[in-house]
Amino acid sequence: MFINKSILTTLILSVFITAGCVKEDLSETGGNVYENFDLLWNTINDNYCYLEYKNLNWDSIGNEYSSQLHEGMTDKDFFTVCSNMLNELKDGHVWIYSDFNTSSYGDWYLDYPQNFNSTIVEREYLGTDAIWVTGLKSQKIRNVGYLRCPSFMNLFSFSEIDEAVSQLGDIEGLIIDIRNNTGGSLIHAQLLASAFCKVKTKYGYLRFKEGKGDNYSDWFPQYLEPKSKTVFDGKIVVLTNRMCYSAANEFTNAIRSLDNVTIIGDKTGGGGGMPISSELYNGWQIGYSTNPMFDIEKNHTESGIEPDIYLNMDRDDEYNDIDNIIEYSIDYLKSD
Amino acid sequence: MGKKTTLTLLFLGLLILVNGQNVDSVSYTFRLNGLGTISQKISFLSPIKYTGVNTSYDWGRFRQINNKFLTKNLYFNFALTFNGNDQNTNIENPEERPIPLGIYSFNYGYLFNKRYSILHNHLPKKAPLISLGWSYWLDAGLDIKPFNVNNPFYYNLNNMAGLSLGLKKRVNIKKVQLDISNEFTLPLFGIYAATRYSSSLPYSTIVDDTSFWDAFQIGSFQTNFQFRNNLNLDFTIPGKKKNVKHTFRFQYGINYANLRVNNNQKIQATHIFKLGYLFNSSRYVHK
Repeated sequence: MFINKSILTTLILSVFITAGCVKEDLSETGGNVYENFDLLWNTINDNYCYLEYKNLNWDSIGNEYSSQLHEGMTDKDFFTVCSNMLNELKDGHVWIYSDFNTSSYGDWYLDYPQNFNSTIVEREYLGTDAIWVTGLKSQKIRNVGYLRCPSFMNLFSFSEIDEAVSQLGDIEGLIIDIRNNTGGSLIHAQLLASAFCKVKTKYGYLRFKEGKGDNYSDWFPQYLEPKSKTVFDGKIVVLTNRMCYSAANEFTNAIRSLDNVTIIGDKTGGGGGMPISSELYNGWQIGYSTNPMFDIEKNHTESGIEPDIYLNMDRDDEYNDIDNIIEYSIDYLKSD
Repeated sequence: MGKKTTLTLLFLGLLILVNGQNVDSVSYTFRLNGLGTISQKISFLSPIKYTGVNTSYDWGRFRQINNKFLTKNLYFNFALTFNGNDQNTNIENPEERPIPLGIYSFNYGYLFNKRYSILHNHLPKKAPLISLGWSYWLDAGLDIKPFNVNNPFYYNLNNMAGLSLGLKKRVNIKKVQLDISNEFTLPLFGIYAATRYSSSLPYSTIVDDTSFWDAFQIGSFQTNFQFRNNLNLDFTIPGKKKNVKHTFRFQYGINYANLRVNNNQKIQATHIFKLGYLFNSSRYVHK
């Protein structure tokens, strides 16, 4: 058997040639407005988790906005078309970012009363002698504990939650105020809720998107796991408003599963879909919800969580530096 | 240990040593540093192609006993890739740009090849020595895109078995001895673990009541088409001292992978030029 040298050479060369590189795509050129629009539309069509739940006809939305495209339109005009199309999803977890502008849907809180005045809370309720442990502030108000958690972006540990509450001494009840908390880390939201549970408690479900279209994982139950001790096991009131979003929404969903918790204020803003990022050929960044979260009844939490007791801020009280929601909660906790 | 046992063991050891001298054998270790190009598309991080530079460090051992070839190779790669057409880089002050530009890719792996020379009785003397055998390949990658929210990284862990094909040819150019060799590795099947479609980490690390083994998937070319080809040019030159020779290696390496696990796709192609030295080179040729 004879193998010619040229055959061997061809064999080696063919390996080199086939290795080549990753197939060329539109990222080489940045794509034109039509190509970038198609990528945006397809990314949402394939991966966004609430098209069915929100009963959106994404095809017709795509047609409506693609008709606004034209050759030679400026980047800013194209950005406006893209952001207007994304706003149809009515989702604060959907955004588009370029170096000259960022757009994200905001009507989930802008269309509703604020029901929170940080100046009044800081000056009239927390004061200068509040206990401040990393991202948490606490104060004892008329023998009731008040714990303010403005964000889940701030990192805190279980022991810091414990410090913030235990330093208040004996209290008749605890108010956890998460108004205007627009979210952050789900882990910290779950940690804060877990600090008040005594036994492992199922509070909802999570599903992961596993492919394009209607392709989801099983329903994965979500639990609150008790920590080494329960920080406080008396009556708890959680204050919410429309600006409670994302991780704060999930915190509300989690902590309301505890028997000793009452939610007071306004419906939360929602944001029940865990978002992930992507980008367009031209380098613009986009984000969208992809993994939906559910309550214990397997209902979506995307549209927000209803409070047990609806209560809006009273304008007259606010004018007089009184937060009537906190006042009501104190009375609620002190009553039998 | 008794005297008899000791003597028997020494005698057996001597037999092995003597036998060892009676076979053709070559062995050396090598260390290589390289620089090259990389292009990749990782659907979980971005739908578009990123290109950039790749650096590598290889450590390995080669052993030939008669017609049997053994190679072990440990490698580390670090790559920085960019979206070449990112229009956001046109801003006047880049420091104000909040989005880190690229994808940082770390890759390490271990490759074990065992081959036997074939067709040596049928080839002309000038033809290269051909060897064919099997291969075990562990390849792990971590690709980080820092600005992404909830999908900042992609990981993959490939445990693969496949074919290894080697070619070897010696050429003498004046005082320089040149050994040209090529090693091609093609996995046939493997056990793969990689990022889920919408979650960087396996479910078992995030939620209760899920099996750790869900993270793994068995597959063949449909799951992953990957190969690695290294072309080596080993230049052996005489040293200043008598009977001392130095061997330098120039290597051109190609890696290609098209990994499709959990409905994500990672395509990566690298071309790397490496330079290094062969240590503890020894040759015993039975005459």
